[in-house]
Amino acid sequence: MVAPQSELLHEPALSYAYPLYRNMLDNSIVFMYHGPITPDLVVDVLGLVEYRLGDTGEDRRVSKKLFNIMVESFTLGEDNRRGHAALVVRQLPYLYSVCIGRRIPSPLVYQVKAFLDRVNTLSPDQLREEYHRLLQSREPDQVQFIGGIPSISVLDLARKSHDFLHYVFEYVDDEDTFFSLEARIRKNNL
Amino acid sequence: MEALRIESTHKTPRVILDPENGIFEFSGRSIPEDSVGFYTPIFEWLDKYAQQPLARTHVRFDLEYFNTSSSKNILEVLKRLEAIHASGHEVRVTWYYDEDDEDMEETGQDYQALLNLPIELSVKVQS
Amino acid sequence: MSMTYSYYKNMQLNNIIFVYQGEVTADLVSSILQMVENKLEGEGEDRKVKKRVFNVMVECLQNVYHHLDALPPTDPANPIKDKTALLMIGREEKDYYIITGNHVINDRIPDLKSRLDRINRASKEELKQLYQEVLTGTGFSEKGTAGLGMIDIARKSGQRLGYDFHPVNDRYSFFSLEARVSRIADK
Repeated sequence: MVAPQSELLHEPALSYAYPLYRNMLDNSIVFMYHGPITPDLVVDVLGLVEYRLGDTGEDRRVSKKLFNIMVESFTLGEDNRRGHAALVVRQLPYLYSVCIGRRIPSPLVYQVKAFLDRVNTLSPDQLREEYHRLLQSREPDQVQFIGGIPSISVLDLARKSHDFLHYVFEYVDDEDTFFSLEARIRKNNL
Repeated sequence: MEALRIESTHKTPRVILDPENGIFEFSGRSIPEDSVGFYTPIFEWLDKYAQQPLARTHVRFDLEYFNTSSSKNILEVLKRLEAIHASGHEVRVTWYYDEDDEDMEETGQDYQALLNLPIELSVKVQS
Repeated sequence: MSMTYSYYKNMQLNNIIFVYQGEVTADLVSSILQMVENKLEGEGEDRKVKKRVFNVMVECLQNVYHHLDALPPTDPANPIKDKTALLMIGREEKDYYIITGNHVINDRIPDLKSRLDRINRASKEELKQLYQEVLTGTGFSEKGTAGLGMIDIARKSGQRLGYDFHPVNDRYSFFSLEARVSRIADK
């Protein structure tokens, strides 16, 4: 089995098709996107997912949840400075996973990590309180953004997913770190 | 005062603010490119309306989905309505949510908790 | 989860915009087309190029649909999810490319190969002729639509079709088909 993570394949993309297909199949990935994130794209991807869910006869509660989480994940992926983000959607019999990946400036990694770790310790009530505080906040943007990440989006995802937020930081270059954030929807949690 | 009517697009809601009958409506999706740009004319209209509001205003929110940057702007809309309500002109808000959408229900509850404004949650049953 | 970055890197390196893996239905196809159309619109791509990408894409998806349809009912003992497909679109400096992938029964490979090679050898005029022959039932296709589809893709793309058969087991191979569309408008 050729795993894309072990080697970077380049040109022609055609030779990458089968390893990619196998990898997606094995990891239950249904959809991947790479590029800038715009509201139009969000609408279109949601449209696609809606059909996919309709075809697989998914429960409407689960579908709605997935939609709401995708909308907010996209918000997290918006980045005017560094442009491109990656979105990976997985569909398993018992869960969906939405993972957004983007670059952040490396010096801010510790801040982002500390924030996520704190969010992951919060109870649902504490999450709500914190969310309410940020929603009403009139503080300037830099306070509400941690490492270029809108903190309210992170709280929103944590509340909606009823699960820990999973994250990974990976080295890109001297300036940037790749930040992946995954929100899961466990069907038996709804 | 003229009514404010904004037709919906696939990423912005339909907005109707009618000062004749006091029925306001926000429906559809809200993930605008520039949420401040989209909501500013609405704030301005409401500020004007607040100077001479009707005795009763009914506001319907029937949203399919929206992101957190819209949540803040919706809160601002509701705060203006709260001020009108506090000035002795009744404002009633109905917050519709799909029976299968617990997040939309929860968002309605958030606004209930944050505002001194009668917000009624109303479930839409899927046919 | 930790693989998101490697996917990102691979997509970046291969200039991939999006990839879909799963079952292909008519509704899904229309929503993918919608997405691509808006994406091209948003990128401010030339109208002719947009149109061509869109047309080629329609045919490629149609083609996958036929291939999947031609497969026998899935054997539960077979670990391969043979009715699922891969759809991928990428944008390079000079071309857009559309890659579709699906399983085919190994017996079909020689025939598919010879058709693809014949299509790739043909001139523009010969393709047109071939298309008409198949359309009127005198050409090489007994499974009408699939044969016609590939000729049509080649005509609309204006470039050679790329293909690959990856052996999966003694019964199946994975067939990838690549169609390219030039981003230079007046071609």
